[in-house]
Formats: sequence, C-alpha cells, structure tokens
Amino acid sequence: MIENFLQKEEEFILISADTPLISNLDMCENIALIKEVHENMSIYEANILAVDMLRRVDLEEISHKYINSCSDEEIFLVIFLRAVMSQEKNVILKLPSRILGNLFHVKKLIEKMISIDNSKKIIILDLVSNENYYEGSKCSIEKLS
Amino acid sequence: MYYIEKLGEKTIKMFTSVSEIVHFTLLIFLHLFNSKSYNPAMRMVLVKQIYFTAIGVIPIFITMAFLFGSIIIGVVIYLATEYSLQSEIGSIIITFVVDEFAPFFTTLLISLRSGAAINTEIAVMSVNRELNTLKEYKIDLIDYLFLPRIISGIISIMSLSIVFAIIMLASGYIFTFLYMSMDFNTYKYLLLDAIEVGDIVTLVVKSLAFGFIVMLIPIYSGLKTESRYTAIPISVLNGMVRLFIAVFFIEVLSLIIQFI
Repeated sequence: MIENFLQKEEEFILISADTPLISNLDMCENIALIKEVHENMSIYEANILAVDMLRRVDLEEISHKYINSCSDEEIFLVIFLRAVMSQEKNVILKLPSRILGNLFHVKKLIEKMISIDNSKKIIILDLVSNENYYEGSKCSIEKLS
Repeated sequence: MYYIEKLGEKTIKMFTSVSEIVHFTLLIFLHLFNSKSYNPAMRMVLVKQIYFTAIGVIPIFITMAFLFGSIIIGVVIYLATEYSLQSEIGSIIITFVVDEFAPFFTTLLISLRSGAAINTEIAVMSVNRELNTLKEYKIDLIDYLFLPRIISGIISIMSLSIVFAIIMLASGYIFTFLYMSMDFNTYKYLLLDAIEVGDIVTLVVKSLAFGFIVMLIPIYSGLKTESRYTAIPISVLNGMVRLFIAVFFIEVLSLIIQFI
C-alpha cells in the first residue's frame, strides 16, 4: 500500500530506514551536502545554514558529531533537516519507527519538525497499529484505503 | 561436461567483469572532463582525499624512500661497479629510479594504504545503504564519491613518485661518494647527461595510469559488494587481487613498450 502511495506522489523526498545519514560526514556536513551539490552553495555558507537549522531544533551541539555519537532521535531530526534542504516540494517519512526504534517520543519530534519554518508538505506513512502514538499530535491522520 | 560448463561460466564472468570496468572507466572519463562535476562538495572531498592519500603518508613515505631506496640504489651502484659499468652508471640510475622503481614502489604503497581503505569505505557505504541515500537525493555517485578519489590517486601517485625519485637520486650520491669517491658536481652532471625527456614522460604516464587504476579498481570492487557485512572482507580481498593484477599488467606493458 505504501509503495502504491509513493508511486502516485510527485516531487517528494523520501525519508526511510533505506536513506540513512552518510557515516563519514558529521551532522552539519550531512545537512549542508544537499545545498553544496544542488545549488553550488559554498562550503562555508552551507555549513552556516546547516548549523542554523540545527539550532532551530536545539541540536547545535551535535553539529560536529558523527552518527555513532548521536541518539536515534537526534539522527532522525538530522535526516529530516537534510530532507528540508532538498528542492522537492514534499517530504515523505516512511515508517519512522524503523529509524527511531520506537515511537514513544514521536509527538515531541512532530512538534520540532513543525517548528522548522519551511514550506514543504510533510507526510508520515505508518502502520494503523501505530495510530495511537500519533493521536493528539499537531498532524491530521488519514487512513489509506 | 561439468568442467567445460565451469570454464565457460568463468570465462563469461571474467569478460562481463572486464566490460563493466571498461564501461565504468568511460563514465569516469566523461565526468572528469565535465565542468559540472566540480561542485563545492566534490572539491571538498578532493581536498580531503589528497590530504589522506598524499599528505598523511609523507613522514613514513620519506623514511621508507630513504631507507629502502638507499639500499636498493647502493646495490645497483655496487653491481654496476662490479661489472665495470661505471661509464653507464648515470643512465642505469635514471632508468632504474625514474622509469621503474619510483612509480612502482609508490603505487604499491598507495595501493596497500589507500586502495584497501577506499575499497572498504565504498563497500561499507554500499552495505549501509548510504549509496542509496545519495541516489535518493540525486547526488551523482561518480561526481561526489568516485571522481575526487580518482583525481587524488593520480595527483598523489605522480607527486609521491617524483618525491621518491628525488630522494633515491639524492641517496645515490652517498653511495657513489663512498664506493667511487665521486664528488657532487660530477654526480649531478652524470645524472643530468643521462636523463632524457622520455624518462620524464615514462614517469608521468606510468604515474597517471597507476593513479587511475589504484583508485578505480577498489571503487569498482566496493560497489559490487553484496548487501551483508560479511561480504565486505571478501570485496576488499577481491579488489586487492584485481588491483595487483592490474598494476603488474601495466608494469609489464610499460616494460614491453619501452624495450621494443
């Protein structure tokens, strides 16, 4: 069902367990990479932008940490920030539990994701059995048929 | 019948592998001469790769070049005097050091150090699905990952070969002084008279070929890694064997071309 949904969508960047962070880059470089490659932004400017994005989700201190030194939640947010840097209109999160390990703090993470000022539409695709984790959060829940 | 089938299977596999490497090489060349490949991220990787491949190795490289190079050049000079070839000593040293030993030794060192590391790095990225991430974000793997490594390989092997040759030629003076009581000016003019444009061209062309292959084959081998962690050592092992075969093939080919 998820694959069918993804086939119908256009101009989106996919976040899933199959798109992890690059392990030989630190968190800041992972976020900055997209702008450097697609917009020819200088390393200096892209890094400033990446640190600013991290600051918005109170993760400035992990700027120069590598993936092994970060928690699952920090990694999740950095993956999201990297997706925000792309030029695609939509961000689709496929089964976040596979990145986070569990969904206990997903509401808090959704709030942080919303706090990042961006014009992108964010779609989270998850199983019906995980519905209760999203209830009461600031996102609308739709069931795919 | 079983053995014929196996032989056929192996032959097809070998030709497929060779044709894939040729195709991969052509792709690399296309990107090498495309200015769009050189974005800031790629340039950053290039700088880091040159640092890791050429700069980081300098202390051990110079020590090895001096110790190992001095002994080898000492043996060459000793043998030349033993066989009464003192008049040819300049061209013997230049041919041995510049044409053969410096690029070959540098290539072996960089293969063992950086070739194995790059093979492992690409294999780990492949198993961890990091290559998939780059594809998802429409980041060209050749531009971002492969091209900087190949360019750094070419630059590193060429520059280190020149450094190695200079150190060997300098240590050669110590032996000519000890064995033949030759003064520095005589030694200097001996080398200057012996060196030809062909020697420099040989050094440059061999370094280019070695530098390209020392990075290309480990990258290709890393890309072909199966999606499991236990496949990483197998990938490195296969990559290094392929690399050594390629290095020896280039060395033999250059010898044949030079001495025909």
